[in-house]
Amino acid sequence: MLKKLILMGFIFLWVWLSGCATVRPWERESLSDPIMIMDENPIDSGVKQHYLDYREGSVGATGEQSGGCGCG
Amino acid sequence: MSKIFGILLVITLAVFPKDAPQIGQPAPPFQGTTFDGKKIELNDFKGKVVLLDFWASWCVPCREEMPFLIDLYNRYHKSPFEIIAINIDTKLDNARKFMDQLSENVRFTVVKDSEQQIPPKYQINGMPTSILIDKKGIIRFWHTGFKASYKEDYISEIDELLKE
Repeated sequence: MLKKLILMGFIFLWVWLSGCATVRPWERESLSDPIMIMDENPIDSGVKQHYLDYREGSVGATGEQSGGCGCG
Repeated sequence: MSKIFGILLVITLAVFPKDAPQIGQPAPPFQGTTFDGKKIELNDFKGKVVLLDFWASWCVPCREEMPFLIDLYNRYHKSPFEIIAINIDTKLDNARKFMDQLSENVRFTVVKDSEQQIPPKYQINGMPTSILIDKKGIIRFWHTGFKASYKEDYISEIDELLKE
């Protein structure tokens, strides 16, 4: 009985973990859409952030969503 | 029970991605169709230095890189040098619109790969990825991402490969 439970637990864990998928760089088209930003008005916020970046001379740490390698 | 563990392990390992080709190894061959409707194969370009570039219109650094690729083409198109830009937009119109907006026409080879068949062969880990392939078809340089500061590196690497 214990063996069966362990096996079932293992299978459940395997199925659960196999649901985690790595999104490859070429599959990020949908993720790079501004609609994916956790914001009520993502495009408006992006424009405001752009102005702020230039005015303050600082960029980053905003959780900004974009396509590409993210290394730029 | 150990049989079941074994089967699950094999299935798990089977879905792991393949290793990326390394510098010094032959570039994985591929076929594709350009935006002009021409069928091409990587092997058609043997004897030329090839800059293989993976890009998409939704990728910000790729958009920044494209004018530089046009500059590179203008600089080297009389040499045995070719740029093959693999576009992976699922909506081809987006790629076309982006190329139409550029100040200069794209005159190098742009392959449409909306089904994204070619990037897995190279297991690229960022966009854009630019791979320099020598005249013998060997991968020699590999760049992930794009910054203006990379431009000089590209030029010196292409010059080096053209001299060989």
